[in-house]
Amino acid sequence: MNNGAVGIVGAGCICAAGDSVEEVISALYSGKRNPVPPVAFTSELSEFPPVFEIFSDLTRFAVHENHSRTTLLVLVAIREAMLQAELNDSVLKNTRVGVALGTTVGCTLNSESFYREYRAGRMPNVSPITKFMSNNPAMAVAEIYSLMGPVAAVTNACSSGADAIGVARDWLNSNLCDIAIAGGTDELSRVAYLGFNALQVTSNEPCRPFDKNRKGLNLGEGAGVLILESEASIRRRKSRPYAMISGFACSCDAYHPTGPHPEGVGLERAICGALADASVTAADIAFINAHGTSTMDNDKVEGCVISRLFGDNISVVSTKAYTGHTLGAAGAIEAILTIRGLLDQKLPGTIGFEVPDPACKIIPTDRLTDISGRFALSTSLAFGGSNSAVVVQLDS
Amino acid sequence: MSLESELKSLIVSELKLTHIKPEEIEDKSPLFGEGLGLDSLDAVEIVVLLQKRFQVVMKEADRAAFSSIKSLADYVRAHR
Amino acid sequence: MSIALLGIGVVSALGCGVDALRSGIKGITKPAIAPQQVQIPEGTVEILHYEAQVSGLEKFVSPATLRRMSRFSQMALLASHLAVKDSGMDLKDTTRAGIIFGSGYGPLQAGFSFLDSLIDGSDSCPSPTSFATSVHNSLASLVSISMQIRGPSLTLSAFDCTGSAVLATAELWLDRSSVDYVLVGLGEECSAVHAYATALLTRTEGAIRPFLLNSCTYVPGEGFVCLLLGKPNNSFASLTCELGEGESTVASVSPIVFAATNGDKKTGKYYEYLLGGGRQVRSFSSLYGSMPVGIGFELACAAVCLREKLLYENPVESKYTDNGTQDIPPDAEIACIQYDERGRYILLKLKGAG
Repeated sequence: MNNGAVGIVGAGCICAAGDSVEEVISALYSGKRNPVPPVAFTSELSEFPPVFEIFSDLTRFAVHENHSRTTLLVLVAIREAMLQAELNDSVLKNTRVGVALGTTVGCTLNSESFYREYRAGRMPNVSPITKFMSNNPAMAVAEIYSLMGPVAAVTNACSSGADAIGVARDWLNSNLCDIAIAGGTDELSRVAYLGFNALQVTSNEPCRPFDKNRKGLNLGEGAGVLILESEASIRRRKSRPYAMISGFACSCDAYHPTGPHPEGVGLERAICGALADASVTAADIAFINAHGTSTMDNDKVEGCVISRLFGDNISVVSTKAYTGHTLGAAGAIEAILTIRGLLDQKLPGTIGFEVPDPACKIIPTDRLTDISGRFALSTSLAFGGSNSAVVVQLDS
Repeated sequence: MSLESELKSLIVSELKLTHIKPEEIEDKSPLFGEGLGLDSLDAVEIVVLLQKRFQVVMKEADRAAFSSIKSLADYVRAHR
Repeated sequence: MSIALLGIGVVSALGCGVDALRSGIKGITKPAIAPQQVQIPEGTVEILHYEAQVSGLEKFVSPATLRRMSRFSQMALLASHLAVKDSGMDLKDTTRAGIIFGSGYGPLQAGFSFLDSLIDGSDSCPSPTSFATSVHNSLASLVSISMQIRGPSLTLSAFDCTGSAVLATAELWLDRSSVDYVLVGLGEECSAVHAYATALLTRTEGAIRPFLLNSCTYVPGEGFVCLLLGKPNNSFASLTCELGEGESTVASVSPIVFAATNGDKKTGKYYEYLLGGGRQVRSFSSLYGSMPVGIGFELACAAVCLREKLLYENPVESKYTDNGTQDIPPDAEIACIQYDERGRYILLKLKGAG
């Protein structure tokens, strides 16, 4: 393995496109999506920005009745990933396992019903608070699986899922643990829905990444998890990684609390840093899974940076067109879809994209597209100006 | 109070511009960049204020109305 | 690997800056402990909390910047500027400086402010600014903008394990040279809702008694501590970090241990093995309050002791140790340790440069 690369031995994913990696990939390759106004909650708006909501019944995955939806989603994804990685109780007991999971809603005490009651002086039951304290997703997972390695929820807004992968890789490379559960999870939240709406970054129609007529993002929910393993542990357990995280970097714009730097300076540094970390160049990258939220600012900045570093003809896909913006889960779900892109040597079309925007410089895939290569890049741009880039590599 | 004065008071109080008094804002001086130095986050906050106070919903295409207090007042007058 | 502790910035109930912390450690000043009358079904109860004293931020940032900042983000920004000022350093290439912040509860008050705007307004016009400041990483973002720190930025949350994750990861960044400096920040904020929950969930037996390990003497605290960390050099102290579970061998053999026991009954038992045995044990949590990120404040206190070459007395006496102030050599080592509910710990060994 490259110096600093860690093996991927399992992956699990759940989002509106499907309840497993296979189901999600199948929806993407079929060009299927169905964002609709939220069903889980109501709101008094004149128009209802559609969301990518999961309608599957998750209750059978609950280990504890006090688990939040955000925790349930990641348990679903972890179960799939552990099956693939062939991790059972006995392996877990004898291995130091770390947990790094990105989230936004999962670490926010935003029980609206509790707060309304509290403000009205009705002295509500504090069970929403104890529920909040039992549902830090990383700590909940560590408790359920009795894991004693390093543990953290990464609360870096929209790049949390990617950053969690970076953190886990650091932990593995420094021998703080042998295996890491790395990813992200977020449920749809009425508070976040109204918050993004107030920021005027949501679209009242299905999102159109990089399209000239894009109007904004659609929120989504889901979880994505990778089981990462250090080189030493792979040798010891004789496990079979099928891909690697070979590069990661993060860099700040230091520009604005909500908008990206207009020249994307932080993103450029992150991408260059990740390529250098993976010991590859732009020419080695087969495709990019972009952050591609479909907001005017993000897609323009991201497209220009990609064009500057990779030229206009690099294959780019935004899978948020199928998943919505899953916030803390996004970077992790997209890392998984990037891996599948390399394994399958193809990319879905960026559904919703129709008319190129010259301001974005790049044109994403508009149909199922063959790609060729062993390396791919996934980018994430967070609220607050943090930019992350992950280089994924097929195992040699 | 004129609409311009009302808008100035609203912006100073809601955006917490503690370093300036409403009467110090000129009707025609720029709100963004130079002048008052507001940014894109202030812009969406003003959109929300207009809706709350005047029930005026500002569309994306009408952002030119943001250039000064006077243009904002004209927009509110035209749309409420 | 050991890393250098270059500077400390603290905002706490003792005030702002290292001087305020030192004054509290020496017993000259007392922490600001504010009572709140909380209405619960059983009647009105008085809940105490350690109230951070925030002042002096205007020396570092413009009024235009301050206007959008919540109190918690003011604490973070002030502690950050104080840490860099304390280090005496000029962070030249800030693409080589990173930020790792951690908080167990996060910016709670900003979240409630957003909910206030929703409840007082309507679904279609809550405050976008409140929403933006309620996101956990808004603190790190503000600091990166204010100080133009353009390296990596990370915000973590793991209740009592937050300190572990933040400090261990900071050490790794420096170890693999992805950055030359890391500004580490750990903090919590109190709120009325916090007081309400404390009234209903916690039965505190009065003031914090860090060495009454089997009792609940938890009194919520708020504040923010920032540490500027760098590659090993001749700064006044070096730091190593160890994560583990159960009894720490390193702590067991350390002559001086600072325990981030904070009156939390659920973790008290894990510190028992450290009491007695001729070891000098200190806990300063009665000066800064009970917080998931207590280890950061305990480390700041250790740094103050090393700088002064004095092991200051325990603010609350323990029968297991010599409590009085003692001289310590310039190259003394202090082991700071914090346990979580499941017996996982972080151990930070701070060694004076000599």
